[in-house]
Amino acid sequence: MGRNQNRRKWRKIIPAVLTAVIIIAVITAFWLGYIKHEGTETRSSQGGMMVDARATGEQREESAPNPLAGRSVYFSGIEDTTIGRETVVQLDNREENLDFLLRYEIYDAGTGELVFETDLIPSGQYIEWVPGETLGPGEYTLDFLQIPYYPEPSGGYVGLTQGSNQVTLAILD
Amino acid sequence: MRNRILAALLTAAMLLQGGMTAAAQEYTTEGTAECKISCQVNSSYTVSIPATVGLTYSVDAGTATGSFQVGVKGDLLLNQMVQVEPTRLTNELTSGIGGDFYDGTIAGEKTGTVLSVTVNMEKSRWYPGGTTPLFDMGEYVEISATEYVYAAGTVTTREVKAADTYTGTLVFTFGLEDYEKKSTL
Repeated sequence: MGRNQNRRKWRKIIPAVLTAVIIIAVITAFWLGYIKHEGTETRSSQGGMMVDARATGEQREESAPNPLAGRSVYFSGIEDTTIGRETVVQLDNREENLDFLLRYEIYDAGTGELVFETDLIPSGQYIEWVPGETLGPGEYTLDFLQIPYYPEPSGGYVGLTQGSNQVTLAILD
Repeated sequence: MRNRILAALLTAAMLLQGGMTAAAQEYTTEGTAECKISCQVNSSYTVSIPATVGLTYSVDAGTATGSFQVGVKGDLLLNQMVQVEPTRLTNELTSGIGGDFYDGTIAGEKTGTVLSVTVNMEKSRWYPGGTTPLFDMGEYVEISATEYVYAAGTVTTREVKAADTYTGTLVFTFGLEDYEKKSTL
């Protein structure tokens, strides 16, 4: 009689214990998953960086943030034009370039001679050039080489992809 | 009688002619005048190029590859297109067959090893919509005045034989070109 009572007692206790273990396991699994999810989001928002697919064709996490990943450089197109001897040409660094600096080297495409060059231009600003003061009247094919730089926090400059715009410029007498 | 009638008609004709002449020589403040007003707005455009192109080395293949996108935005005259092409990588790039890929080199910073690289860019011309070029200018992209329209490119090295950091400066040349066109209608 006593044995039967014990068996009945255990038959009630064992399913209850199993059910409790399963519930605890499920709750623990959800909890761990939640913590992991939270951790991932925090990491990516604090600097875990996705390399922009547009720039590299790949998406992967990098351990160290690359300030140039996914960034583009913007260049203004210059059209073939006829100008007077005193006409001013504005050589600009577009606002979209943000912290990128830009300088120009202007070459005569025929002779390869450096005609004009600028200092570093901050974005949103321009430098004025009067071609008539450098070149005599006539027609020229000029290469406007636009050289962008990224200023590193350490003080150095990283050269970026360059743009070259070939323009026919006629200067009237 | 006939002579009198003839004389009267001649007199009337002369008076009428004289009157008309006088009227034609008058100037009044009323009336209309026409003149032509013309204003040419030239093409304008902006080019977007990746600041850097990173290459990923594959141990299995023994080569490194990377990709990039070049974008153009602008308002073009209907007979003009924008052309963007890679032209230099360390040195002048050599155009391949068909003109859609270019061979150049990059150099190892420590060993000085020169590594051959091929830059591929299948679409390099942006043109205003509504027209079709008369001649075959290869793959082209329709330009937008409000947002950049991108064309993809790839960079692939030959087999890398020495461990090093390889770098080179890539230069894209861009400009406006005139072209013949025909309406799609």
